[in-house]
Amino acid sequence: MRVLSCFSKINELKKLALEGVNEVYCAVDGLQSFGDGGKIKGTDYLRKSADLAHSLGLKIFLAFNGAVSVNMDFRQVRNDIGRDLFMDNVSAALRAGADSFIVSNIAVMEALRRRFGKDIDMHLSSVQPCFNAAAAGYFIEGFGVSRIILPNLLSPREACRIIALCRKKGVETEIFDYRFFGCAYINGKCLLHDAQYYTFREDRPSRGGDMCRAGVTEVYDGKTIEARALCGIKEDSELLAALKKRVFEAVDCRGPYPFYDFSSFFDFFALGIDVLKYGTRSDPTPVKIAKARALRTVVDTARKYKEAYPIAEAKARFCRDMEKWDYKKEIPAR
Amino acid sequence: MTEKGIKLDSFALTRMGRTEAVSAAEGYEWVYTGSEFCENLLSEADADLVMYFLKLRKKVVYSTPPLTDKGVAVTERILARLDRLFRENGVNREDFEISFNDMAVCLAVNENGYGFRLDAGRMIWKNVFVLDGHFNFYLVSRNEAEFFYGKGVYRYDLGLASKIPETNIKACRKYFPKLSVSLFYPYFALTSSRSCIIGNSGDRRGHSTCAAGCGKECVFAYFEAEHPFIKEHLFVRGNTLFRKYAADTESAASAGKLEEAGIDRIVYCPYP
Repeated sequence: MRVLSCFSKINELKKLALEGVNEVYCAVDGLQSFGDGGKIKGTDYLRKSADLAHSLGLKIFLAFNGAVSVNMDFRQVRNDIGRDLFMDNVSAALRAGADSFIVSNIAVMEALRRRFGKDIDMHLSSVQPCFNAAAAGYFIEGFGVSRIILPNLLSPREACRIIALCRKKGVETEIFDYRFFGCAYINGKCLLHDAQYYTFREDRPSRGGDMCRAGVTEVYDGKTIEARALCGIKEDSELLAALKKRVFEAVDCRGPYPFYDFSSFFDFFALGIDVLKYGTRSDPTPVKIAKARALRTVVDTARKYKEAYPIAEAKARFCRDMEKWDYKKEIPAR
Repeated sequence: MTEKGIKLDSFALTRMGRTEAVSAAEGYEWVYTGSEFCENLLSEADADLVMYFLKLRKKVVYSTPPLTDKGVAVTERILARLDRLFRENGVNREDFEISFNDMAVCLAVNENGYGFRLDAGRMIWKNVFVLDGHFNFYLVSRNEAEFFYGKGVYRYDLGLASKIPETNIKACRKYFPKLSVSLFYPYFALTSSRSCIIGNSGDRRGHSTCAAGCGKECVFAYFEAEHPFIKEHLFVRGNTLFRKYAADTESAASAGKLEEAGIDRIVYCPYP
């Protein structure tokens, strides 16, 4: 299993390589990506980054995974496509040395394949979540993606057929590290980060960011999330009391119970997932480096046990080790 | 003329019972059934329900959610059963649509030649539309619209957010004449998960989750939640979080405002 890390500054590349990272990715101004944090400035910067990454033996990918390919009025877009600005930006990124593109939009995949043929290598972004083998087959056969990034809401057992299909077709698979990407909502479909859909109260703590990251604990300064059951459950019901906590969690980014943890990581590892990824581009450099180190360590630990013990024993030993892993000790505060 | 629909999914039918559901559907041309957000709520018996409403001279949309391989298998059986029931009962397929939220469904319908019309569901619109800061929907890229249009997808399901939206649908019909939009109200889906908020619980450290567990607990209730930092109330049902908006959609439809915005169907959701 290889390790993939995001980067947002050229001086991070050498440090990431020293931590055992094998591949890096970034997003660049001018091409729609999922989130605008930590983008690098322009294709000249991309070219310099690609040159350095290649000299360090790293592959470099470009996230071009906005939900839509462009964000303008339709009639204006029609003109822009007529002038091929959209494709020119992609061509410039290709010339700058990007080895692969991380793409989410199906229409973009189709347009890129039509325009660049086999000259462009594409990874299916988790922002276009692929939950089944039929959809995976479609992306592989229809668009020739060379890697599928699995959404983090798919258990190892549920992913088995996708993984088997990818292996048969020579397509790589990638998962996120469970410690650094824990959102329980479907990636790319969530509107909780957009404050236009809700209004913060004036007295909310200033530490709050988006609604789902407002840092609400179960009780905060005497306030809690109030949940009222509608249709059928009486207010004094024991069932309601039990469910209130779950409802509370639903309006926070913890959301429902996550699919990924150290146990599922080991199962994915044993199933032969090719790449482990960490991708918070807006993290400061020291945080990126620490997380990359954590990724390398978890992969090496899993490999060590898998090579030395029968699989059940290896998993038990791995889980015992990872249970002790402490985010606050390992990762510097932002 | 704006068409009117009502969402009567398994939750609504459980709450209402069939008799009350049929009476709730009076005044609506379209009945939306199936499951938009959760594959655990799909059932082969849904095909019979579709046929039941069609025989009551309703037009029907069958909604499908994001699917794992388990859900794909169930959906394929439902599609095959629907196909058989349509043939056996001689029912017009023009009165039936499938709304999909996973490409696997779009593929299954097209590859098997079922001839069902396809709508892009409420989890697909972000591939094609942008909802701007004033809650207006704009189709922003020809690439995306062309792709889905080429797959026979002419209708998009959108949600009412805050107010009756402006759109550029009418302008886009110059290039895509059959482009159409259904507007769901009054609940707007903010986010959704695969793992159920109500059903899945407990600490499973050391044991991988096998799948999204389900005891169909969500049919017992939905919830109104008051967040300490957010002014608006939020609604939680099953694996999805909603906001409720008060805009008077039906009056807007009567006044022709929706048609002006290119919205030719509204879908009332009695529950989130």
